[in-house]
Amino acid sequence: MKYARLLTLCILGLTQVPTANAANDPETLITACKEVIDIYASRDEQRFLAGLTTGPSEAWRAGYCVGVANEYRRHYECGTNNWYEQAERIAELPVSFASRTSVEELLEMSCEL
Amino acid sequence: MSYNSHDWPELSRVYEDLLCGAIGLSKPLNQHGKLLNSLNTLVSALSPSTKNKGEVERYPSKTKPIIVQLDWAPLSWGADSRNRVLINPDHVTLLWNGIMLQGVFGEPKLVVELMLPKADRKPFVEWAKQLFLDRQSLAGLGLLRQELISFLEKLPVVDLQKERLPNPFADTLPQMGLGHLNGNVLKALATQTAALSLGDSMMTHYLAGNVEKAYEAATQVQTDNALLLRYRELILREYQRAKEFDDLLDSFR
Repeated sequence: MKYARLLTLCILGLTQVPTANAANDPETLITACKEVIDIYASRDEQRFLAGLTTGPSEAWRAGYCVGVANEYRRHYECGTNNWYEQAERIAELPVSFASRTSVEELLEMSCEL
Repeated sequence: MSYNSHDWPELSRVYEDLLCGAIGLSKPLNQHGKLLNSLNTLVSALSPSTKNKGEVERYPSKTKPIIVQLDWAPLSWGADSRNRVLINPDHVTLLWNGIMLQGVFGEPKLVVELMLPKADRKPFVEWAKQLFLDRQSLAGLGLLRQELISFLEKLPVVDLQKERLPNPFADTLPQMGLGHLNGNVLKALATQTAALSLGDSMMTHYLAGNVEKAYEAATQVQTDNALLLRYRELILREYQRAKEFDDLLDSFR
């Protein structure tokens, strides 16, 4: 009996998804969307500037923001059909706001009319 | 942070130690306004920060690489207060090396690139060697030959956090806005070096960070000089990469 309970616990432990994943962290999303705005700002400031000043991790983060915003619109209603507008809204928030929200809330907010 | 930043020394004190103590500038430091200005530009590149609207306190940037760690705290309440700036004592050597690199290479952006943890410092060192060491007289530039040789030899291999680069400057730091060269020694040298004049505009544009102009020049360079050929290839490749990125960004928008 005791053994069976232990076994169940073990299986439960194995199937548990790690929650501290960067890809589901509001701070990551805010930072990522700030990155998007930064990159496009340097794109518009000067030709070739974006490619020269953007590092791989910055580009990766930015891509994450764009992807998450697009994917959200595929599943939920959204006040805009433009991922850039969504990114702008999320990027406006200070990073410190992350502790008071979730990725879902941020995305919902980015879609408000 | 390994320990409390309240124990960190003040940046202005560290400036004084480095510039008056180690380099030998006359006190007080605030009489060297131009130098301090370029120093501040350098430090804000090495320690990028942001602040919220209406606040005085600055925070380390979350997106740009931090090379030297600083800590900002407003001296008093109110929007017109100034910050007391503290520096992580483990990063004082980095700051020294940053100042030396700025002196030689003349551009904060370049200095940051050279100081990134995985930076490939060799190409810059090679270019600097060609320009500096093939010359008869470095004295006119305020540089000491022997120190410059060891500076350039150490640069590709040194651990910039642990070891101070030797100071290649004869007296002050003429390249940091004090002297006639007005900033960029390499640029000044490139335009003076006859042997490399062919690649002059290509290299000056490149070292100034203007890839588009460097690319234009590179497409027109005809040379057998191995060094220039190498740089030409590098520039063409970099241009291609930057252009691809622009196109990609545009296609998403």
